[in-house]
Amino acid sequence: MTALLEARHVTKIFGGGLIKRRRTLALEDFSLSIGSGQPSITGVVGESGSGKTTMARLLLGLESLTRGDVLYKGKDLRQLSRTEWHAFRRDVQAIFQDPFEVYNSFYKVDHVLTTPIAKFRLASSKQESRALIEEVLQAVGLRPEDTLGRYPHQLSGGQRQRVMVARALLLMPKLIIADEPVSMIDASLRATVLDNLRQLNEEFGISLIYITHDLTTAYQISDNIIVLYSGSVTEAGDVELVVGQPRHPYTQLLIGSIPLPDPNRRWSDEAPASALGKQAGDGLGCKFADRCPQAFSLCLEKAPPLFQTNQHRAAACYLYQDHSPIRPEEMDKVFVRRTAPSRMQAGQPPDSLADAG
Amino acid sequence: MYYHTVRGPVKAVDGVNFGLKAGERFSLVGESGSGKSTIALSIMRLIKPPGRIESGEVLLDGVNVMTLPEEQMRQLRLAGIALISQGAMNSLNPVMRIKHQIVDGLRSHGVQMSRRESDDRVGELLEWVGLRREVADMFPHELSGGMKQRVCIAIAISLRPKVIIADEPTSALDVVVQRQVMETLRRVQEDLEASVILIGHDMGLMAQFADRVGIMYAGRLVEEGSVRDIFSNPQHPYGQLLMASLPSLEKKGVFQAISGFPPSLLDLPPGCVFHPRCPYAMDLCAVEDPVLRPVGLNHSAACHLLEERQEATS
Repeated sequence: MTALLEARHVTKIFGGGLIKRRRTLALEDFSLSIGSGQPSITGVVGESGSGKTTMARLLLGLESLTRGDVLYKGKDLRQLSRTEWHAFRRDVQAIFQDPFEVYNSFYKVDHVLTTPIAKFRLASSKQESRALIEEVLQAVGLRPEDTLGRYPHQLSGGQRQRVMVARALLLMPKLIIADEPVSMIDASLRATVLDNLRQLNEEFGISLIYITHDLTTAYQISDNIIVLYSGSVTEAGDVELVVGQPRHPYTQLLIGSIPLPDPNRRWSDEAPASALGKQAGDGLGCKFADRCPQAFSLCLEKAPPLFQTNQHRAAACYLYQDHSPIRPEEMDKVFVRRTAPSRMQAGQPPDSLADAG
Repeated sequence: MYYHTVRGPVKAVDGVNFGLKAGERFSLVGESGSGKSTIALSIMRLIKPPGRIESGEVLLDGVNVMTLPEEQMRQLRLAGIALISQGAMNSLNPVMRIKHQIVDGLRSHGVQMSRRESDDRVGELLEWVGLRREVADMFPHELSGGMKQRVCIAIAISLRPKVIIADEPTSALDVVVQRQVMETLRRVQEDLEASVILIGHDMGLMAQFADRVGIMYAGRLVEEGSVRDIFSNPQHPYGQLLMASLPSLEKKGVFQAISGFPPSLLDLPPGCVFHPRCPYAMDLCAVEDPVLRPVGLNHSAACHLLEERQEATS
């Protein structure tokens, strides 16, 4: 079965031209496929500069590739016909971080909802269009009478972001790529937007790529997670495993740095220093080597491939070199596939899946 | 502290009282618009029109800061109370070397130094916040966000203040860097035996850093207590719901949103500001504004429900 959306060995380098000489490797040899079968939620986490937003933009066809391919239903995005492009635009929706920027402040909120209806001819009359809008607003827990006819500044950040979720729902896409959808929303309202996204997945069977710097919300919503560092995948697999027992030193550092809302469990003492210091930097070895507390000479020579440490996890680190390496495009074979729609409640303790070896 | 606008006064902060012991780390948490940053600016007397401090006092070692003449107040800023404001790292002058920016504050407070002395002083300050001495000769664009924020901490501690107010000092930083910056702040604060008021919305950060926590809602302080009491035994319904809204890293699906929306500060609900969203609201809540009362040892909350409970037990 062809995947709905697939990235194959995608690399993006910014700069390197005549004017801007310095080249920035934003994303390197990244592969991911989102099936059209069971709906999944894939979390992509990374710090600023890890390439997560570049990944989203490449998958959405908003950015040109340096190397590799992005395929929609098996066909290269660059070779889609007009009708296919139209279908792609409908099937794959985006939700962005800033719920201010997507609105034109001179138009009422209704505008962002009526535009896609007109563009994709979703309704044949004004009444039908209105009914459709009311339906999707209610689906994300907004009261149409409090939302429609208002200007963007009259809504809170949470409400504006929920209108964006409603807009995405309007088109009944197969995949939503959400880039930091809740990072500008207050904590007390964040759960609502996350719930909306989860609901789209469970009730309407829409797959989701959830991109964030916040591991906690990624853990809450995702089935599988991909950790990016400096444009490369460091660890990927079942979210319970990756977050519960991180294997890659970078993931360990990342998870150890999260401030837990529990005064009885404070940060342990200073983060461990790097083992090799500033020796790295020729760009050949592991990108994390210069910060890694466990780096050794091999790490500077060659970038580590992904090693499959367990049925449902792979880590790109030579500490696990006795496990079998997998190619980048095989990364998703370690992903857990949801059998029942509500894996959320399964709550299997990660110990039962402890890594072999 | 009210902001006077054409649509009436915005009651950004209303009737907030708290005390700070020497060497204590106090956190003010709240959602956007709850008045936490306004408190920081009020303490520093940096409120600009249309904002105005309507009433109240800020006592530093028994001296009311609010009534000091402007020149004395200027001397007190940085030397007595230092502010690391939100996005401070972006307020560094891009065309000025770091050392000049650090010395600037010292000079404006009347410190006379030779070039040699000032270089030494800058070097010590930079090492204190965990940066190399060479950073002194760099420009802000050569530094990472975390390094810039450390420079801001170095500036803030350059005159050994008694109180450091840090308003969302790490909101633009990645978690790994955030942790390093917070650890730096804690270390210099302990060295100085200064008090810190940490302002922010990240409950996790508060739990990691603070001794005591105050929860703000719509310009009021609704609950205040030790960090352990606030996190394990919150008393105000808003405090309880806020704790329940925090996603966990261990168990899925055990966090909930608080229904409704924060009120507009132009049009606050009568009575308790939280009552329209409160699941336990009573008739009284819509009429009378509750005051902060003790609910335990060094723990207080502003809620009619708790008053009733106290009356029942006494």
